[in-house]
Amino acid sequence: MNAIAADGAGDELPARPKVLLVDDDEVNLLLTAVALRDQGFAVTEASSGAAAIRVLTDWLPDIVVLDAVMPGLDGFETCRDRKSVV
Amino acid sequence: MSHAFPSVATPDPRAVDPAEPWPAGFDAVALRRLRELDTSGEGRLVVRVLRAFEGSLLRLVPQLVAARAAGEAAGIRHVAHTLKSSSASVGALALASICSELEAVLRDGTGAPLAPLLDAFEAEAQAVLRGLRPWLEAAA
Repeated sequence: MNAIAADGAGDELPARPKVLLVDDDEVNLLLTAVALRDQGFAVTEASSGAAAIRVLTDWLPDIVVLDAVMPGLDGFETCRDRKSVV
Repeated sequence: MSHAFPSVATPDPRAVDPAEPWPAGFDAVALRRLRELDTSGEGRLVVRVLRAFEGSLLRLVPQLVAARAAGEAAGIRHVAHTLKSSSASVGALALASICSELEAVLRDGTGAPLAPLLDAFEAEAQAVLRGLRPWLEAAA
């Protein structure tokens, strides 16, 4: 299951929205990234919640697609961590 | 005047796709759908995905075996959850079905016996790997 989070719901998205895609499984990461790129998204990949937090420290995408079930920090914990610093 | 280069061949609709036959035991419809995502037209996406899938199996199956030996339901559930989705995506449908059943039994706590499902998982995962290896070697 994936959770999709976007800041400023209702805001216009840019022509090529920046997506941070987070999934611990390489197959799912690869396939979702290919499908999103095919639809015009600029995709940055992260393979764990901790890696996603590192990326988000100094970069803000338009959309974050998070796998909910991951070892270590799961999708919900990753989301809570980011919300606590916004 | 003789031609130094062969003329461009018109694709023969009866020609066999070079990617086929697909790995033994994999669903052709799922793999053709995957290939359609490959906008490069070089057909390498399917190879990359199946190689990644093989890597996932080689990493996750021993994790499940270890979790089973230790009686750790959370470890079994994590492997089942991860492989349920990726197996379905690549057309390893029997494995996806077993993973889905395993995850449901663990999530719902129905008390259904796990051992037959875990045995079926291990046997099917090995069958999938046996189907994948020669195909990936040929595609290398």
